[in-house]
Amino acid sequence: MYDIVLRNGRLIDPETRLDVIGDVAINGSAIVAVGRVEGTGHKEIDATGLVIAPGFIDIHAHGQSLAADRMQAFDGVTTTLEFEIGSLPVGHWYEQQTKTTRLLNYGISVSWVAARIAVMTGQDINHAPLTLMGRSIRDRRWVDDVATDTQVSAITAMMEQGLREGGIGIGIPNAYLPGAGVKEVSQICSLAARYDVPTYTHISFSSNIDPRSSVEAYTRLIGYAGSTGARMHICHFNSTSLMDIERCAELVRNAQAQGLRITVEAYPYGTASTVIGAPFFADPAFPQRTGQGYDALQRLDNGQHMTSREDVLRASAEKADNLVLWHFLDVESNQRHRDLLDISVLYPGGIIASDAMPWTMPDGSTYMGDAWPLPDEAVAHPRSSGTFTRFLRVYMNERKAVSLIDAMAKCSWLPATIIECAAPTMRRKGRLQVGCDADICVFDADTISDRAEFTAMNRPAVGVKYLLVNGQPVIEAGELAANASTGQPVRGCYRA
Amino acid sequence: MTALTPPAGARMGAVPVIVIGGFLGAGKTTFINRIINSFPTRKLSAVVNDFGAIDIDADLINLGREQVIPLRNGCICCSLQGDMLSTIRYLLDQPVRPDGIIIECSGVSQIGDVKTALLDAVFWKEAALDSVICVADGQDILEDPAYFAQSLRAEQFRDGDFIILSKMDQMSPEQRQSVRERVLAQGKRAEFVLDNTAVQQMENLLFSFSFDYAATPGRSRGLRASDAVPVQPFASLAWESDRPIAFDIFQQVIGAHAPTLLRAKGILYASHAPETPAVFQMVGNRVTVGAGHDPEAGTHRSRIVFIGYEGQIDLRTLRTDMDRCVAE
Repeated sequence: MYDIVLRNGRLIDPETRLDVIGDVAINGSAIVAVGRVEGTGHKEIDATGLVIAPGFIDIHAHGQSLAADRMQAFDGVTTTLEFEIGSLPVGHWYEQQTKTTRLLNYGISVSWVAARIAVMTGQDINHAPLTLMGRSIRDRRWVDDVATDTQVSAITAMMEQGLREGGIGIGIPNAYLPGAGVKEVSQICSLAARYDVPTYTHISFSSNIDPRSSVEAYTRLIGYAGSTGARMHICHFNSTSLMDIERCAELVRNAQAQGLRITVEAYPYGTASTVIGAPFFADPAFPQRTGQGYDALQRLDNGQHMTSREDVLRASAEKADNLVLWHFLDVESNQRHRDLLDISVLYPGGIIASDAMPWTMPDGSTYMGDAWPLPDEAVAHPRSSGTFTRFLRVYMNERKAVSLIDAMAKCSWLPATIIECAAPTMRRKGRLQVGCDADICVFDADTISDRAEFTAMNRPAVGVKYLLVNGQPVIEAGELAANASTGQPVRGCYRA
Repeated sequence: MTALTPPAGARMGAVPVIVIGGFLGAGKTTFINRIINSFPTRKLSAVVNDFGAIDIDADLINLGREQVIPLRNGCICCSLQGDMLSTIRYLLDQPVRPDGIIIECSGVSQIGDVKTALLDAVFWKEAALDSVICVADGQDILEDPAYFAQSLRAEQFRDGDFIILSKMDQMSPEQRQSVRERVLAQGKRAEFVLDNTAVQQMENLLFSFSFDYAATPGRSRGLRASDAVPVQPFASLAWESDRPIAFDIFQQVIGAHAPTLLRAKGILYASHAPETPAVFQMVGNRVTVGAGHDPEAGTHRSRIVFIGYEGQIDLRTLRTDMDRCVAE
């Protein structure tokens, strides 16, 4: 007799490429049988017509609260990890979580931000990661200043203690610490390399123009990987590469091909793309279709057409500031823009991660209550509610750009492989295998969809029919089922 | 065609957002108050930075308390979007939706971060970044030879679509000229002096609700601003077409005319997506194009208003060039 048996679903295990119709049996918090299960369960769940897959693992989730867990549960997530910013002291952060209800498995990285704030300004760092950054901005030295050698030693010592307390790698949100020097970052990467844990980087610059271009920032990141041996994970590859994504992806692929341990995540939401000058909508077929097209274009380019306005032209040619910055915000209807987003979302071996924001109330506080549905005035970004389901709806169902099993790999197994060097228990997650944790997402592959939008951010996604976290139902028959802590901490475990 | 003059609070697509930055003491609050006084018939809301301690700026702004919202966590969280999202959502959820939102960046925060946060596609359809204004202390620019050597100042200047110079009233004409030249050398051409006439001059540049693109096809005429009297020293062109626009040529035309344009706004139907209205907005040298709402849905009529300085903007050539954007 098993605790739970999921019956007759489409079993997907991305690691072994299992894709068959069958059953899953669960005892306690573990999967004990996969395939054709003979015995019965105390609870039998009919998964006919549904996919049974490992629960999704989100390694970039700032929410970290009951409200955030609930919204992400409907997005198929069973493990939600705050790695981009992280926290210190790590032990204290885990202790705080045990005082609240957490439905999903949770974990934290070591916070470089917190170490800098503590060492360089002496401010209290005992806040949630994003709140800490906001609260500490009165004394900006941690943002703007280059740390002295003594300060770097103190910063890395604090961070090393964080690793010893179970922090899962190191958050390097370099964009928010523009004053930090390369020497300091290289020390942090060496620390990560010594402990063989990943770093999670929000690259230092996002721009398509040198100096301080995205390409410069990725080249630096690749340099850290090569010179220190650190594992460098790139946060939201989509939003920080802008119009240079093709080139950035090429650079990262080359670095990976040389054996550097670099990984990539993206979320499937369009972000503003800024481009200078060059036509963005250029259509190669245009001259054939219109009969005027490039003649007109050329004349504009070389100035012949413009003789009536020599002043204008001269100004345009001589002054760099006359270049026009174009922001494009239209993924839906613009093929070229969509192609660029695809490069990061479909990057081979790349994972999906949400960058989910905390749920914030009108007074700016983080919502820590337990109302369900979430109060209307609680606000986050729609990706806090629908990143994974949006990926499945758009990329798997509507555009057929990714198969079910490859989609599952990007949502669960590949994220687990990125962090299992630091947190060996992750080898039991992201897999639908005997002995693995019963973190399972059962969903209707045809109807799965995000529903959150700006005016209704608290709309849960649809399509996830059952969600099990450590063998405990969090969603049953499409409804929220859990009110107790079903989530467990994921911790780092090191051999320095 | 009638002019678009919706009543205060009416739902007309995205609410325009103005971001105002500049150093502490540069005159941001003064400037914000002047804007507010210049649009007496509009409901404006202001978002100010509040670092938790004393809510000084909020008290100094001439709006009802409920229309001035402190941003609790300062601008670093704008860059992480949390505060910004919740604040703007809160303002848009009010029984009477604001006609415009002014966001004041604290003296130490980077305008660029706020700009990036507002350029999220999710924001755009509801609250669209309109213009970014940097208020700078003219006296400081005059006296401090290293003024632009400070990276934060240089960045604030770079991020501003328009520069407002304050504290110029005590200067000699030569000193004013010297300040202007230093500003121009930073690549900024649309600079205004913060005095009694400055905001009047800028009214047509601030807030896209001042625009009216109802116009006869192909005919140029003066801009009609719904809140302010027109309109020296500006000239404008209202252009429209029932046929879709070849976007690549359009980009070239805008690029070529950019040095003479201060603002442009309109709805575009591009030949690569002739059924989808795109909202086009140009402020200074910054253009934003995104999916948007066409109040005349179904007509598929592209229409744009261009504004530039009288004597600089070449209306005739601009119209000819725009006509060349129409796909055959």
